[in-house]
Amino acid sequence: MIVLALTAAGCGSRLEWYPPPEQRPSLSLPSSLPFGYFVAMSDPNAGAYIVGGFRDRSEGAWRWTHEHPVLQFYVPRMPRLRFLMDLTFPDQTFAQTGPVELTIRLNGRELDRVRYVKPGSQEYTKETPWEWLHPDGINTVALDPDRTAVGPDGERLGFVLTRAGFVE
Amino acid sequence: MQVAAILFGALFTVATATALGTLLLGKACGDWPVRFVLGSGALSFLVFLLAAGGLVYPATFAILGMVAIAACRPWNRWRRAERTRHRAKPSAKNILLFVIVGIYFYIYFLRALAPEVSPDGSTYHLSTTARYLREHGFHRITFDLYASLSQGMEMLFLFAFAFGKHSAAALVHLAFLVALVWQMWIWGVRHAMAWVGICGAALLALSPMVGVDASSAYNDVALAAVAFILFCLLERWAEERTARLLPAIGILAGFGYALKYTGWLGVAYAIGFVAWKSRRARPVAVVAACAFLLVAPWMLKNWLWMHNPLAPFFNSYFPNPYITIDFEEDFKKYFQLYDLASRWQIPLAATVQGTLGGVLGPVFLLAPLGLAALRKPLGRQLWLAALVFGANYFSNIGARFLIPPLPFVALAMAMALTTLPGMALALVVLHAVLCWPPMVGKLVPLGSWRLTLTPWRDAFHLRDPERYYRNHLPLYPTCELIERVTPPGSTVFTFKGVPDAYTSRRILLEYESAANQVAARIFQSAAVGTDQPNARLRFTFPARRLRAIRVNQTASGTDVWSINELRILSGGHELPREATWRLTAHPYPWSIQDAFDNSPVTFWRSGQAIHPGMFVQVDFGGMREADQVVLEGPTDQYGIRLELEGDTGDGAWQLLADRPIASDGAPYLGFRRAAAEELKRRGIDYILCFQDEAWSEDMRRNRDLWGVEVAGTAGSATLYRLP
Repeated sequence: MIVLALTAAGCGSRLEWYPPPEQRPSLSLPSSLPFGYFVAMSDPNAGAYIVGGFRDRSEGAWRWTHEHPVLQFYVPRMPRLRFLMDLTFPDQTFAQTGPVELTIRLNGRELDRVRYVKPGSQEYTKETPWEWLHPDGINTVALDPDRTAVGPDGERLGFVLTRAGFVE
Repeated sequence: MQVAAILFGALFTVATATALGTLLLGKACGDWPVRFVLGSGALSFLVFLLAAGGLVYPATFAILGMVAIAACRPWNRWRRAERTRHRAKPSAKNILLFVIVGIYFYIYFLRALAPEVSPDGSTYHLSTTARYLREHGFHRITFDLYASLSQGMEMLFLFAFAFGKHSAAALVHLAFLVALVWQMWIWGVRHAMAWVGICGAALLALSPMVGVDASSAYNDVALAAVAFILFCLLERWAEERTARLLPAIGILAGFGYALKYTGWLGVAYAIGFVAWKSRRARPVAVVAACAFLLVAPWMLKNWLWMHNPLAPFFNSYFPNPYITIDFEEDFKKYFQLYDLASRWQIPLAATVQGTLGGVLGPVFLLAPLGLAALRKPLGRQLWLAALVFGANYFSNIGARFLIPPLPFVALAMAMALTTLPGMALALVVLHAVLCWPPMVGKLVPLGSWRLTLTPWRDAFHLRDPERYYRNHLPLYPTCELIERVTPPGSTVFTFKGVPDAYTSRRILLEYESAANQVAARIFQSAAVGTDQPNARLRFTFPARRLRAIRVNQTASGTDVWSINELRILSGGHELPREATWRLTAHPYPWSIQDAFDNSPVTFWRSGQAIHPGMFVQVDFGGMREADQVVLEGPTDQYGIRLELEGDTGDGAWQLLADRPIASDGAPYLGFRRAAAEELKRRGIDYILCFQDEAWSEDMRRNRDLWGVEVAGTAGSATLYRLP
């Protein structure tokens, strides 16, 4: 009896179908905007965030910066935001430049100066003063390295950016 | 007054069980341990029926107990029944062992009478018991896997708890140790080896693991008592062939399963033994039917409520929404080795070191000496029973899982050692010295479960029990906090187990159900960023009119596949999710809607390690044009391999894209708030955080982003009220 009961209980492998549930309010920005508050260089739309100072295209998940890289973001109104970026100083360029000081400007105002004394990957994050931001509007972030290296074809190379933007 | 209620609750339970056992056995066997343990099975079954019928009230139990006691007129019936003559020769060594065992039992009694503070007693054993009493019976509990285990012991606890609360339950368990030790002695007497019985019983009774377990609201010693008394009844039936013993054997075997799943071995043992000895179908059928009577209710309850008669195990055979297969595998894997490097470490860990949740006592390292008993038929029977009742051990190597075979091993050791003059006595005395609670405290690491000497003022509740709780249950103040600041009916989520037998609120512990694990992932993804859906897997294909799409997973590995949102696009615009759509997934279809609710905090998860044949499917209920399918999910699913198929209307699946293009998406803003609201939507009112948890700092610093308020603090715990 137990064996029969167990066998019967186990016979429940048919597919179960469900309708779409109630839709939750979106956390994404409207798709009509050309860009958002955060960019990963692997995003096919990454070019829309670049004002200038970057290579024309990404190499997989990252993109080279030149002397004066500038990004633009549409920043929604939020209680608090931090600026975050993942960047890398490759060994080859760092051998040329040595330690690099990066000046970060938010809408033209100096947010921070950071000195990188070692090559490799870095995560940078800092709270952004609310009054410096243009909520529900376009904000620019300039990332100026004080030194750049010279690539094989004479191209000025700053650092490698993987992703950047505003997070909570 | 409190002590009187506790003692009444325990004694009334024991008396009722004894009365029921007496009714069942009639004149067949007059030994109290047999009557009590068998009657416990019957009482447990009756309490199950009352709980199923919503009749759990102290008054119902009082009537049941009084009727049972009155019906059996125990002394009249007992007087007529045949009892084993217990009188042992009053030698000095007998008296010495009786005194030693008596002292230990006094320690156990004080411990059981004191406020219940054992790890599992103060949590799931008595939290479900208290819930059944509050709710006057069973209600579906899918948020706590322990509520799906067979709860035969909890039914007895419930009977006692109704009158004497937590400590009464612990005392009922202690009564099983009394019965077991008594029966071991009787077994010795019956075989003209009283000294073997006494020594074996003493070896068992003094074991620290046995003592602390028996004096707590646990079930291991009860199972050991059932196993041993079943062994004795089978032995007796084989000698006498008394038909009235067969139902008792079946009930006892079934009661073993009802006490603890590992007790199924008793059913197999009883049926196998009777079949082998009788070689007739009828006796086997009687045993099997009576065992089934006690096994079936637990299977039926789980079948109806958990879709798995053996919940929380065997989920791959009985897939259900409540326990996932990957969790079950991890859960079982841990208990197969705990933190040991090898099984060869078990003997030392279980007997001396205490790293398997307690110690049996160093003398059990000498258990192999008991193999000398194999020279005698009785010794062989003991070892066979030890093997049978220990056969499940490697599924959970905790020291207390050795308690069921321990009576047989102890008697075999005693049989072997009593052949050497003075040896058995010396060993028991050494055992008594090594197992003295302060001595055990020096042997085992801090935190290992062991007995401490309970001051009699604490035991008799003459000092404030709150003080005792605070000293012995570090998280007790958390339950006080919950009771104080949350309204009745609240639900609290926690990653750390709290003694929820002391709160009436619903406590959801992270690992105890699939739904709890989902809530934990939602919370953690917001608090520490794990599993945030920042990966985009984009299938692109020439625009087609399709009736359905299916994403197949084709790889094998250890990753678990997860999708936070699945979006279907045409010309760069997402297709709105229409009411005609039908969604499914294999495996774990039950949460597929969470991948289509437009919320990045919720997700569908396969619930088992990836293997070919897994899929997620959308049927549009009509033809729709599409050219892209985008999956949003966590970034760490490196092992999955996906392909996209479409049904163009002819019912045949065509490959649309053999792989997706991966990219990173933006971290969502408002994720914490969305997570908090989702948890609230799932019925959670509060989150309990402790300072040593990785997310406590985020909760403290970002209360505004979460939208939570601090409801109160207790020690290192903070209780947050969700928005």
